[in-house]
Amino acid sequence: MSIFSKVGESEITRAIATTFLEMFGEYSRSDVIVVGAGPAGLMASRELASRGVKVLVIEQNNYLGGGFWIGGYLMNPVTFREPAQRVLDELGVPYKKFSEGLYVAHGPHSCSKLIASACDAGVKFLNLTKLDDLVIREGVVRGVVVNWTPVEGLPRQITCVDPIALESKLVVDASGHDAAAVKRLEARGLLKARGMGAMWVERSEDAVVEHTGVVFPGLIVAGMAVVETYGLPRMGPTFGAMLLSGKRAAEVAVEELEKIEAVI
Amino acid sequence: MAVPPCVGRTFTTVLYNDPRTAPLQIEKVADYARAALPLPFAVVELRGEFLSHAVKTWNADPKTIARQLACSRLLDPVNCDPIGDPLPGELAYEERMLLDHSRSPTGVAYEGYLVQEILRSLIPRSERRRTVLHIVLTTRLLITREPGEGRGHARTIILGDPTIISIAGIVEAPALKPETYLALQFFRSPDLQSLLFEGERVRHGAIRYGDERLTEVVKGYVLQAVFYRLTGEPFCGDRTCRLYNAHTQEELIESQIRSGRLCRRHESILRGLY
Repeated sequence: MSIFSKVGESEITRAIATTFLEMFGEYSRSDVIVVGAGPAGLMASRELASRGVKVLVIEQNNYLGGGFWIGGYLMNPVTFREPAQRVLDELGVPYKKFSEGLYVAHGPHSCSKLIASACDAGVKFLNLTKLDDLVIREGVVRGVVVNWTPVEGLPRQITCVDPIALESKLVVDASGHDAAAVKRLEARGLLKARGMGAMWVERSEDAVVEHTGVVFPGLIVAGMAVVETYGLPRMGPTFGAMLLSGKRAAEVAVEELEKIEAVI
Repeated sequence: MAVPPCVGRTFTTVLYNDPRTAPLQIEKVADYARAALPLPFAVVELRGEFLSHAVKTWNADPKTIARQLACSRLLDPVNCDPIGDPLPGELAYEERMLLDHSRSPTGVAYEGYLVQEILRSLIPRSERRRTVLHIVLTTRLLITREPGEGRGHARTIILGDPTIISIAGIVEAPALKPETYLALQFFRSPDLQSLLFEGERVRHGAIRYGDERLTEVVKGYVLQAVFYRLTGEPFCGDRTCRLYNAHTQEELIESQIRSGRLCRRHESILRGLY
């Protein structure tokens, strides 16, 4: 008597492919596509999905969470400056007050809870999916062009796999230092990113949150992509701004979606 | 020393506070200036935040100001190059900072002389007089690159009319002791360097954001602005004089906190202005 039920290999394959393709087909058109599943992208997508917005996140790596697993220098405690610890309360992540205004939590616990919370809210993910380009119609970003990360990583002479397009009403660039979507606009001469500035920890977190918003019609920038876009100072190994920038991006996205709905 | 052009007339110092400079107590600064300056120079008028004042009282256009400020942001504080054509997000940011005083313009550096020119252009001709000195307090970080300087430097004060006193500059510009910077060079990670630098600030008792001592420090910078207007010479070589041009936090604290007074020479110059 075996422990597990008897299921053939083809049935397992069919389960994977059918489930994936059902989701893929449904999310070929979303309300919002978030580029990058780091802390800012996860936070933005979680907030949007919890408000009933149809959100798809594309992540170039196999794993979700970006740099949120590690706090800096390969040490996994992650730090948050007040008031970002309130997000940890929302997520149910335990933390300690380290000093006045500074809180510390474990990276694996914080990151996994944020991923779980985003999944619970209804966010869908495409792992190993890399942004290739943007869909732009009448001067407005209306989706992304993507390909498998392994395909993008191989020389063109070996792979000749065309990318595909996914449509959305809005795109959020939360791709970290890559600022992948912003760089695509820059390549077309539609925008000039400033590049990352020098480090100024005490001042940079506020600046990141304050600059989170629409950078081009249809494109919102969040997290470290904000730093790259506006040439803001680096902030070092602290994550409060990423979480609050994600929240701000979601608020801006909801406002923008309302404007789009009003026009329709 | 040249005879001040305003001797014999009432001279008014207009202090523009910014609520984002808290816990700085601007009334105490004004009272200090009134007590320190002899009549007729002791007339000190307090006004609210400069840009809001310009919009409400002088009918300045907030969108124009926001665009000008966005253009004066620095792409690279070291080379002191302004960004040129601003992004829509930068314009929106400056508009928010202009209208909402609960938000503070932090993490962004501006070209100091461009900002001074923007502010000067907002002052109506009727208030641009030799007998009126406008002093603007700001939380913005101002950088200038003087002729012959290899790089931009953060500024505590930009003298002229208006004179701008930067709270971010008071925190960021005066250096810590040289050994701090030498020690930090051993750490290659900028993350660690930055965190350690914050610790060094505390250890050296440097002025920090939200520091209660800012009120005392700003009193000295207001006197420098007034002296510059009245005599053309804002600074003194005596480290215990409030007119000392502090380049380090140690000098700043020595001249403005520990001493907190004018030297005998400048005290007598002040009295001689009766």
